[in-house]
Amino acid sequence: MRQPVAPHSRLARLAMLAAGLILAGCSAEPVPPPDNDGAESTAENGQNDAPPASIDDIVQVRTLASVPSIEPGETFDLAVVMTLAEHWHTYWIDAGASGAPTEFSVAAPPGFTVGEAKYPRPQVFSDPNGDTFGYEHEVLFFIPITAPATLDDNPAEFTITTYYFACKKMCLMGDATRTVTLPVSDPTAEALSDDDQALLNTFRARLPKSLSELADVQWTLESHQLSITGLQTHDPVVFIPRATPGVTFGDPHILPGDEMFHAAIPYQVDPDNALGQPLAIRGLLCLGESLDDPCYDVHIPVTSEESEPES
Amino acid sequence: MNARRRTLPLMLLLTLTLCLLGAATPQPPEDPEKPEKPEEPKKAKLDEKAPEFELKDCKGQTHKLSDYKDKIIILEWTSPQCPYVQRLYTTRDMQRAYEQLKKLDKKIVWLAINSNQRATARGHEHWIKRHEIKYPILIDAKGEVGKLYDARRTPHMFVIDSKGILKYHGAIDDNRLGVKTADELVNYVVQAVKQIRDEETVRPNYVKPYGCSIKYLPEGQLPPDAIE
Repeated sequence: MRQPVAPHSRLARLAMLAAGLILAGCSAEPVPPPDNDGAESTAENGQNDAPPASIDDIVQVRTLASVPSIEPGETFDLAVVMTLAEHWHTYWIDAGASGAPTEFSVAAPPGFTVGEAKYPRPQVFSDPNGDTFGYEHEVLFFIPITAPATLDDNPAEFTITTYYFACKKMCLMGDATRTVTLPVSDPTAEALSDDDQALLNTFRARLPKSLSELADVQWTLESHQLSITGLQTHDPVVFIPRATPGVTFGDPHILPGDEMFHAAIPYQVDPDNALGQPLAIRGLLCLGESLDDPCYDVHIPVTSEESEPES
Repeated sequence: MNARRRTLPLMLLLTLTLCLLGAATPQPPEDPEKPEKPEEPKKAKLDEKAPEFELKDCKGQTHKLSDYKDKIIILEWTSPQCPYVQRLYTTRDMQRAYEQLKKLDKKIVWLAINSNQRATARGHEHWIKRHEIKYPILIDAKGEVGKLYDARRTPHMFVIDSKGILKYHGAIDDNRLGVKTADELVNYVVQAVKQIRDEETVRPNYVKPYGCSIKYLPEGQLPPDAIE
């Protein structure tokens, strides 16, 4: 997890956000002169869109905790709920051909361990310039936290900063910092509302499962290609690639069958571009069209040797 | 049997006649005036010669890649409307990279290119003044050069060595969230230029660019106001 943001960076970001609100849009329209900044804002497809009054009208961020109070040694989730205005969308951990991922920075009390954020199954937004992956309406992200084995009685305070990029016909960059304070071993602590609990349950069910949970799964790495077969419980089958430094993907080929599907995912490995990170093929193998249909997390470490074509 | 005897010479005669006719038929001469079908320009590829292009900047001055022979060239795909580009200019990270490179090598050439379909020369005047941009912004509203280089986002950076070979393309830096200070971030373009000057292999030579998509002009359409 990242360190909390330096104050001067925040100022720069605020200035940028203001500029973004005024000038936003990924189109190439003329930039308005200073005396009428914000007077015009033109959407990327050439239609005129009124600029949003505030980014808060577009994206609302709030936080929840999966437990009402913390027990020593327990692992629980902090959750970030993003609610987006109609037709706006934000992005998965890999935005795809454009956009930018939603990311989090968590400041936790000493002794607490902050895990890697978990992203629910994204939608695929088709675009002539390349598909993007993300979320509309409402999305909930999970951040696992593990409490230390011993805790004093003081409430634990967590500060979560969410960095996001939200687009409709224009794009806005934003961040939101929220605080969650949880009591320790307090049986009287207030539980989540039924609505929030239902929301948590809905999005927990949309988290990708381990690839090993896919029925009859088999996979191989051979000649620059990851091949996965499995039981086709839903139709269609799609592979959503997640870029990792040093690994690039070709176009995946999915062959549906009566019972089993076969996915062939070509890839290239260049260890010199790995930026010091472990080489891995990452992505989601998703079955069915609904966001509630199953999705499986593909995370297969590779070495540069495995990338060599067979002689 | 008799009928077969009569048919065979007839068929031979017919075949011979057709062959002679074919040989005698004059072939149309190749028209030297007829324009040959233009070859598809070769797309940019790492460690290969960077494709030639010709574009006008906001002041109407024409720039050809070959004008800058024997110089290291930086291409920056840009869009003043992209929040990521705005941040890089507001924090001056982009201008700082340019200044750093100019200190390294005065002859380095930096060309920004806007390949969005609505890019116009006039649209950049305020942007250039406001951010004190010291290099030209070229207008590629048809998107031909952007597609030639397979520029995907803004910003998307390309570094070409003094022999005209593409040595790096991708992200400007490792500061996608904008939370790193100038001292903390790694600028991949500056790093690549240093490696080129030190005659080292450029590594990394690709880092996935972050930023906004480029809104290319759909096939068959003309830009509304490509350049004044």
